[in-house]
Amino acid sequence: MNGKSTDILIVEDNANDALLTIRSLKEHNLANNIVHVRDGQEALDYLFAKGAYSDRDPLNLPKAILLDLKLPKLDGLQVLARIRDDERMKCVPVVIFTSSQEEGDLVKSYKLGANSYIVKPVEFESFTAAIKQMGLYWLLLNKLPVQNAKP
Amino acid sequence: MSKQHNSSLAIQDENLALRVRLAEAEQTLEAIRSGRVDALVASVNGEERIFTLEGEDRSYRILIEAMQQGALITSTSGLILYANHSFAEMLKAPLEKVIGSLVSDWIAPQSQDVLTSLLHLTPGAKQNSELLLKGIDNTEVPVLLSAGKQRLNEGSDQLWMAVTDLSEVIERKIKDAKALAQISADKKLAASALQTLNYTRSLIEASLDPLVAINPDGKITDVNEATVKITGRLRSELIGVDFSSYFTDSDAARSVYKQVFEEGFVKDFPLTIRSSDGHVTDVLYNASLYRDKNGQVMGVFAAARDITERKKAEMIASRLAAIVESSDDAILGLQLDGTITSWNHGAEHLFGYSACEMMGASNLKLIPQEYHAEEHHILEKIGRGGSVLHKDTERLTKQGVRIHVSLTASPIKNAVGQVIGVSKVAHDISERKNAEAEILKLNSELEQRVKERTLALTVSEERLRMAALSADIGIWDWDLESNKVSWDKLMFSIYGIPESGNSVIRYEDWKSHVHPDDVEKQESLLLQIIEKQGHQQREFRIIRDSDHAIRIIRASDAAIIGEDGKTIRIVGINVDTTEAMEMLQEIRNLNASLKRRAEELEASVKELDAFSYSVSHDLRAPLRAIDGFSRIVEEDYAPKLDDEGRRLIGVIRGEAHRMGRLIDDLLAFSRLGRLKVEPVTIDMGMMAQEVFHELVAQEPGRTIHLNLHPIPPALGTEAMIRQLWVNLIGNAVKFTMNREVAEIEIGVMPGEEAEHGDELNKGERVEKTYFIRDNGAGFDMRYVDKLFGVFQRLHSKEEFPGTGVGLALVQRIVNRHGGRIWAKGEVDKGATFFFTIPDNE
Repeated sequence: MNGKSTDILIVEDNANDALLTIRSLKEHNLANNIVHVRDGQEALDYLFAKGAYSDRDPLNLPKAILLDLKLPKLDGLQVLARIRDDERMKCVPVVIFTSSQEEGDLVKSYKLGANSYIVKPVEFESFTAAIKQMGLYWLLLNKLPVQNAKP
Repeated sequence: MSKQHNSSLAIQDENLALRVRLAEAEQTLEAIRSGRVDALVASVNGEERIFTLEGEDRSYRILIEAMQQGALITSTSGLILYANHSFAEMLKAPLEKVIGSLVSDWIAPQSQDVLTSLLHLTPGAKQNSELLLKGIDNTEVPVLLSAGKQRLNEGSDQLWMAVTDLSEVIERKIKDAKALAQISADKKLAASALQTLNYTRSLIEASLDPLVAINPDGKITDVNEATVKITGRLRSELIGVDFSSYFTDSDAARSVYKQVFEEGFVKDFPLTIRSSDGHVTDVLYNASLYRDKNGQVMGVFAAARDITERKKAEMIASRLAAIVESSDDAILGLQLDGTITSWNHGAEHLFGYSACEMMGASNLKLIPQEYHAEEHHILEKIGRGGSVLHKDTERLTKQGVRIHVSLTASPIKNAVGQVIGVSKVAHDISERKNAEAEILKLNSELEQRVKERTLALTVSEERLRMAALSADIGIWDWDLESNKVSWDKLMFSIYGIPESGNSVIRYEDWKSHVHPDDVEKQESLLLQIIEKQGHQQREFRIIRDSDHAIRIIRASDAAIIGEDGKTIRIVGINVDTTEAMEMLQEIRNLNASLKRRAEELEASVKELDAFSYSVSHDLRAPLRAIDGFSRIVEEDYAPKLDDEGRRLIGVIRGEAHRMGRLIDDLLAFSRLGRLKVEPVTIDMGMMAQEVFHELVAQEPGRTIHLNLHPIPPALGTEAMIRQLWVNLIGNAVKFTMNREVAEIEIGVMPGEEAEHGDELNKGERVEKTYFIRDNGAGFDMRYVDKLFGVFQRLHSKEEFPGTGVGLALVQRIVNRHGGRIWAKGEVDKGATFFFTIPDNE
């Protein structure tokens, strides 16, 4: 993982959901370098190269962040707020990937600067279809400023 | 003469009043003489100044000014400090020249000696002298001068002088002297003619006038009976005594005696006889010498005439005349035929005619035609000796104006009591009459207004009383002066006291019923309103007399202000608010518990929120795992699975999907309860049409007919109403799936048909009732109660898929809009759903 640029950062506390997500991404050859963190604090440590990730190059930013809302320690909205608060990370696309269909969560997420909001489908086919489309769009189609995608 | 006047009671009264005034005037004169009236002169810086009498002394001055006698006050050096007009007139000099001059300037040279003696009188002494005044034109005026000296308070002396003009008296004396000379000659003849002394004697004795014979030595030689009477002494006591000792002024008497000897007679000389008991009698003395046959003087024969009565009568008559003349009332004298014989100033003023015009004219000139008969009666009555007192009648003035007069008429009688004329006094009462008429008019107006006002007050008071009675308001009225409090019926009942007879209690009675802890504050509040006035409200507790219960009283007070601006009464009301306060407390308690309940509810709603949040997250994640890993097993281990294995995995995945939908619907249902209703006007027809097309698009190959009647718009929350149509039309589409041609009808019920069973009062409110009918599977009306329950299904999921939440959701939407929903159906004959959305929600 070191040295290579990260394609996508998955922030997900549910191991099953993470496994299904990673499986779908790989099945469709959408990402090679996938990083998975399990709570909000670990996500920030990774992004800001702190704690367990202090030896990581903080300039190596992921092409997209797939962020669950309900997380241990810091929740998804708090993580989002910290990301958007950092000048360097303002442009990193953040896709909210959650079970919540609550209007309140939707509104708060977009207001904090989320780029997309996807409700996790229960049916597996729908789920993999959603991951596929998300990957195609944010990892392949979407164009980012040069400084973001720099090794 | 007095007899002529005393016939009328009125005139007698006036006489009396006059006498009193006369007495007062005499006192005043004496006061001025004695120097007690000190406003006349004052010493300023050693100089004597004259001050006129003004202010309260003015009346005395007028009196002095009105005297016919001259009056003056001088200093001991003879400087005239004050003189009246009469004195100035005697001198024919203007008053201002007289005052401030020396009195000696006005005395003839031959009388200066007399003046000198007067100026040297000892204080307190008086002296009468005859002397000659010298007028400004040097004419000489004989006068009788009475003078006296008074010592003033500050120790200086002052002289007062009263001067009587004797010119006329002396003229008459001269005339009479000539006549007496004649008489005297006649007497001589008579004396010789009359032989008997007895005759003369009896004549002398019969005389009412005191007669005295005096010898040349001045000793009395003979008196008659009248002299005995007037002197109060016996004949023997009188004879041989010096005659002058019987007069108050012996010197004057002697000088008269001397005069007789010098001139042969004296005529009407005024002297005053003092009797043994001190009684004095004013007399006029007439005396002449009598001689013997040889012409030798034998003595003086003197006759005195008592003039007391005459003096008084003259004085009264002149006073009366003055009064008549100065009266504002018209006073006139008439003959019995109505001819006017006298006419005063008042008559001139009142009637406008002068005396010249009216003297000798008929009284009828003044009397309006219709009163002529009355006048005739009056004159007739007076003729019989009667009189008329204060008769209100009318008269005509010269200008022809009618005036109201109060008329008093009395007879004028001659000496023998015969009525010879009429005196009339007419008092102008026009103003009084007008005032009376005005007062009468005002009175009647006032009475009318009082009547109206009383009626209005009675009505409004009655109304107020009824209102107070029905509102359980007790009324009280505290009179501060008597400290009594009037209570109405309700006050007694509020305080639980038996009603007293007069409905009056004492202030202390009230106070004794006030709760001891509240007394002080209530009394201070009452004192406050007495002082500050206006009105106020109070609340206090009382201990009710009947059951000793503590009651809460609300009171209002208002101050009533008296003419002097001070509070005279406090009126107010009492209301027993105990029950109201208890009810209020109960309401407060209820409110508090309601608030608690609401808070509890809010808390449980929040809990439910948290619950649905966790449901949406936590329940779906395992489902997704079940489904996902079942699929992975299917894909990754396909070669190892037989058909049964694959079928079972299919079952696992199907159930997981169904549970996912259940959770979704349940969340939608709970979310609906938390959504706000924000009504807008919704075109129900268009919305139903749109929803129908969306749903039908998902059912390819089916024939579904929609019969959409024109339906009115509704006021509702758009998202909710759309969900309502989705669920209802969706149900219709679903339950007609076994029909070759599905028929769906949407419309509104006309009027009363729409009413649902007995739950509603028909006609109470007419609502639009929307309906949707289908020709589908229908339902058994026995289970209609379960139709709208959550997770309640009347069909198996194998027959018709569904979670059993759809109709519950529809009912919830309708309820949130304040409407109702109900259904009719029959198995295999289709179903009809009815719902209302009120406009006023």
